Amino acid sequence: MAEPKSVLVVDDSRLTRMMIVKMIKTHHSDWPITEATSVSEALECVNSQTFDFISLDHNMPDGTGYEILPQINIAQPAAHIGIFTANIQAVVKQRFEELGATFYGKPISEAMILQFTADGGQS
Amino acid sequence: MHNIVFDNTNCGLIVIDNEGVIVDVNQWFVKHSDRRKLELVNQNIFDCFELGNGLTVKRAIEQATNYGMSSILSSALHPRLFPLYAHAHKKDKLMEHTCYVKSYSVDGTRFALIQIHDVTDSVMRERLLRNRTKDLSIFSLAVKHSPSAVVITDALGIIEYINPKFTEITDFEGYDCIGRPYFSLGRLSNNEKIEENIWRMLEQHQEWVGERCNLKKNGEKYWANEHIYPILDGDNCISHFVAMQDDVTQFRNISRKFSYQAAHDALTGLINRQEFEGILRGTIDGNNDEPDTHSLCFIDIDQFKLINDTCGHIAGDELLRQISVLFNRHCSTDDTLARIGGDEFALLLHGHDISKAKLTCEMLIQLVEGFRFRWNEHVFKLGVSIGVTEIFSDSINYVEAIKQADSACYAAKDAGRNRYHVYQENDKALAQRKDDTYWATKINSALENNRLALYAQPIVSLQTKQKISHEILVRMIDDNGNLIPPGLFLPAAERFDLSHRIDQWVIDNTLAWLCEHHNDIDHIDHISINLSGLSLSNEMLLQHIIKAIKANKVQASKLSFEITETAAIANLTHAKLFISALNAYGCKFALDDFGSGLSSFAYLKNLKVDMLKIDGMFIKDMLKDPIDEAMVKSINDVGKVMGMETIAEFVENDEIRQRLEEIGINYGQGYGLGKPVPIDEIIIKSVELI
Amino acid sequence: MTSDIFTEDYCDTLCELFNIGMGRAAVSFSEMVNDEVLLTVPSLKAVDFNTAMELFQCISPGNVNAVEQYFEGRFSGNAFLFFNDESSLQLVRSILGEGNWGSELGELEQEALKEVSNIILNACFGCIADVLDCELESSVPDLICGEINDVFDVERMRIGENPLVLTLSMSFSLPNKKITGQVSLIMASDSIKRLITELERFMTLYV
Repeated sequence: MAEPKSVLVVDDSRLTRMMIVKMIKTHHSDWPITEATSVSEALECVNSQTFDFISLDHNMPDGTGYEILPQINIAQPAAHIGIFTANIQAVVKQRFEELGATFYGKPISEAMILQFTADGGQS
Repeated sequence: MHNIVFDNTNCGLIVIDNEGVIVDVNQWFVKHSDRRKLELVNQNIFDCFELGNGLTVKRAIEQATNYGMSSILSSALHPRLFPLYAHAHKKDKLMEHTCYVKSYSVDGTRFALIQIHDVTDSVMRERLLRNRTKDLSIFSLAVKHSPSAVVITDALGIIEYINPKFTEITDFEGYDCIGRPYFSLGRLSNNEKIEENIWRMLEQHQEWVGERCNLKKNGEKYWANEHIYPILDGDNCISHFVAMQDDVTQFRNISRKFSYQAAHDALTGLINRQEFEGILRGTIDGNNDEPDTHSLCFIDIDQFKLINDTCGHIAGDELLRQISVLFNRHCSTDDTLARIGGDEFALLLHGHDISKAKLTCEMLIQLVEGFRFRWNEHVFKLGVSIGVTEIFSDSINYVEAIKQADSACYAAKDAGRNRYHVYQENDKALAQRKDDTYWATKINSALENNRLALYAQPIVSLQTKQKISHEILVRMIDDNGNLIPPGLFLPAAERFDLSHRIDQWVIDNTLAWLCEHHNDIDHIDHISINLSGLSLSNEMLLQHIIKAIKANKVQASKLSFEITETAAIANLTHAKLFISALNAYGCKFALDDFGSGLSSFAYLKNLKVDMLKIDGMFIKDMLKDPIDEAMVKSINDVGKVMGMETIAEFVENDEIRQRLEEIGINYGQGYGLGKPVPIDEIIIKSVELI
Repeated sequence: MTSDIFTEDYCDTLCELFNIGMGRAAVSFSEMVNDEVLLTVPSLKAVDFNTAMELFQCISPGNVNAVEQYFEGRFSGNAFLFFNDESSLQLVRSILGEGNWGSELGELEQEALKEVSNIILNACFGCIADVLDCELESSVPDLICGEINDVFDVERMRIGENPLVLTLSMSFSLPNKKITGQVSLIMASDSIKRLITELERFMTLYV
């Protein structure tokens, strides 16, 4: 049995956070999961703890995921970052991928979460 | 029943299943698509039609078959999505259409129903409207940036619009004007009458054009060339007025200065010939309360030529000035004294019959006898010859009156000078007349025997290295083969109305010459021909010239005509006609002797000439006389403003040429640049050059 | 029934569904304008009809252009996409290309506006139907130009008793043009109950 990984879920939507948390818990019941509901909360988390996986929303009330991604990259160089956003325009996707994140378009499905956690395992 | 409705619906219907396969199409679609139903049914719609960017169409069909959602595919975003013909029978024009994609289900299977509506009419209407809007915005831009001030008022004259130029001229802004009556702006107290007139014309649906003085916002006066016209609506009622103004204040100031100069002789301050003729004409034609009998005197200074020749023309000028002062001091203010030529004066005695006029003549003769002209160490004693004629209002025209006084003056000279001669009807023995008759006979015989010759004098570009041009001059050959200069026979030709025959001869022979040498004149820009006043009204001559041009015998651009300013103004209507007719073929026109007889600059606006030929009188002394130089400059400036080129005559030396170049005169002509030569030499010369 | 029954949880869920829907709409939209569409965070409010009228009158006091579509399925209602005059013109012109066409929407431009709105509304509601796994039929879009009273015409909408208005404010803009639109949904009370049932069903799947 692999060591449990730590996860940070950043999204302003309670529904999305719940869905992601629930789907991860289904497969990895022992993984500790932290939730952040805004850009500022997310920054606080990444600067105080190390994460293996970070799911990041794009559009949030106090800023965008794109704006804080570089800071997260610095604070969490080993973390695997997945972008979960409804803004699925090609340019948006490309921009995130250039910064080394994996892009997943909402609505979230179980398959996506599986791929997200599996990707991290490989890297 | 279902099928009947389907096929009789007045829009296109296509039924598609969730695979994109056409299940059915209605008659309307078959008809307008010019396809057979069999070709379409059971085929995939994307195989049957090229549906532009298929993505949107695909999505619309999917949304209908998968979810039941409806979509619109607008004609604006999908112009002519299906290749449908607007007129099923003609197949000439593609139909503009909008598609609605709806969903319906049969036994749990969803189908997409595409409804196609013909919107060709509304697309056309839009396009028309859009073009009109575009036109309108172009027009409104044109008005906004018009170089003329534009004001638009409603039918009552209340201002609705002013353009920026109006603000620029008057300083009135939109908030000063809009909602106020047009005529209340910058109104002068004495404008009321004009305004009444303008209204009267406008109300009769006529335009009003004229010059009016108005006030700017700060109370300063300005003169505007104003054009007001009514705009009529469909019912022929006035809906708006448009007023256009051009600020002509500056132009007026210049032209007022000029009209004084034009009316007066610069040397003596007396009125000039042109002005004098006007007054004479007014006196004779006038149906006012003035007495009916007047007298006209022509006064010639006997020794003028001698003094001018021996002491120079500065002395001559001084003499003329002093004599004018002398005459002016002893003439009554009722009389009109003018300098009408080199040493010729004219005096119109209002209300004086011949017996009173004789007293005046005697007085003047005594006056001059007692006068001494001093120049350096010389003292000259002078005499005058006076011709006098009695004129009765309405019984004589002014030209005739002038002729009589002139011939009487010659008679006085012939009779031994220092005397006066009264013109008499039967005075056939007038010496001057004899003189003229002599020349008239000579001219007639020269014309008949072709004893005239063409000469050409170069006109040289002063500013650029343009090709040379030539003015055509005429010489007479007498019985002994001697050349007679034009100064001797042309005045007589004018008196005996022979000048147009000479013109005709010159034109005929010049055209023939041009035709003959059309290969040899590439180095010549154009050939300039003089036209007299009488020729201008000669319809036959005009037709003759046009015929020569049309027959391709003569290149019109090689032809230029010179009309003296005086002749042009005296025959304004004919001159305009003549000029516009030949202008249309590409001939150029120059106004000759410009500045000498100018009565009003307004005429210049009416004459579409290409060049102004400045009177040689101004050129010859311009280095010494600042007034002459100023005159040359002013004419050049006005010419430039009016888009005309300028030519200076009498360019006698290099200093004058240099000064003219500095002033910016375009062309020069004169002994300093080239003497007249027989016309054939202008070709030979060029050959030599090569 | 008041807006109280629409709790924060339902709001959050519906908001996220709209968010996803608008994300899809933005893809179609950006294809049309050939440019990236910037989206803001959506906010959703449930208010009673009269409050909604007042609210809208405050937001857009002048003329509005509203594209209306009727939705029907497990739940039903009238969906609106609002643009003010300026946004409508900018939107249509950025798609059809600039032209010197005056300051009013022509017939063709009105049609284009309908189509653009149709795409946004269909993407938005199609996504909700997708996620909630229920069918949601829609009518063809209608364009209503006028004041807010004309848009929310109770008689035309036939929305029954105690309608509730769900207003989703989300603006989308193009980099150089400020185009903001707002999506609203008006539903009768029984329909809202059915919507809540659907949301509950969905949420229990994951929460």
